[in-house]
Amino acid sequence: MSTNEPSLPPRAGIALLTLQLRAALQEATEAEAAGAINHVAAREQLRARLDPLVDAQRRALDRGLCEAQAEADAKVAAAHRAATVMATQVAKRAAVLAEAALPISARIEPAMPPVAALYDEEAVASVENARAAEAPRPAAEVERPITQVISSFSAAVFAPPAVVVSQQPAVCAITDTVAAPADVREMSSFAPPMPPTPPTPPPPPAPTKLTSTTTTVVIDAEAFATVFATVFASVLDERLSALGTGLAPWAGHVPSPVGPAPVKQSFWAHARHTDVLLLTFAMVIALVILAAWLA
Amino acid sequence: MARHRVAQREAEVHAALRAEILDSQEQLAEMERDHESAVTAVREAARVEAARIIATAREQLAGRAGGVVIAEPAQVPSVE
Repeated sequence: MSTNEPSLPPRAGIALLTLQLRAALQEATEAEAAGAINHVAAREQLRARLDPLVDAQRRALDRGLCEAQAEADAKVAAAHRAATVMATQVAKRAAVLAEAALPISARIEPAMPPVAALYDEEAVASVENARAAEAPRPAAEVERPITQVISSFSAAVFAPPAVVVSQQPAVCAITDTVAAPADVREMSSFAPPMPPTPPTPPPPPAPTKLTSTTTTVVIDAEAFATVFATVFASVLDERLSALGTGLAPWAGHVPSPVGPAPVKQSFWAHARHTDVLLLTFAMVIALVILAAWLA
Repeated sequence: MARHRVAQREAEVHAALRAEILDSQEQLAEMERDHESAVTAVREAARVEAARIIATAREQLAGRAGGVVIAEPAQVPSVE
């Protein structure tokens, strides 16, 4: 700056100052523009930092929502399982109650038709009538065949499947010549009820070919043990009572022989009987298992 | 004068940046509120559905079982 130079005329000094002022204004405008550009860049930089944070937070919340939905699905599935358990429990208890209401004689006697068929039908009918008069029982229990007992066993032992399984028809060959087709249908009564079928012609000789339905079942060990223990105890009681009186359980079908009364045997006469030995052996096994479990 | 305008301009930009940050914070808070409401709705729907399933099963089994007493099932695990 040489504003105080005496060599310049006043007009030249004014012009010089005007030029300097214009240059200063131009620099100030450029400085303002540069500052504005820097501010826009700073704002964009801030947004570039904030957007990833917001996105990360959004993804975390989405994951939490997915987990909540998964837990909700698990809760609904647990409710379904609880409902299935309730159904299984009710079916098991109903089967056990039905089994307990059925006397053991009604389960065993219908299984003896071959033995009864060896004797005179009239004598058997008279003996059965006499027994019916002595001990009246409900008609439903007397007429209940062994196949229904087996079906009730199956209902008690084989609980309904916990998971719905696909039931697809399949052709299987039944080679068991003992069970008639009618018995087979009754033994599979735990399957879903089928619509009534029209009478079919007599089946060909064994092996019988039948169209059956495969069903996947779940064996309930507790129900099986309960039913098996009940039946085993009832059979043993009946056998022991029959042995105590000197008659077989099916002796009621046979006319009693006429003659002198048999001599009463000792209490230890049947100590080596098969049933007693088996019972003792089972008791020993049970005691060993109990001791191992307690140890 | 120019310095004053620059200072004023910087103050305005700072306010804009602060507003940007507050807007982001508000956006995050709204997202969390929406998330909480969605999770609560999902859990409530699951609870209602589970209760409906259990009630339906108990009604059906009570009608089927007759005199059989239906025991309470195992406690359903809570998702709370």
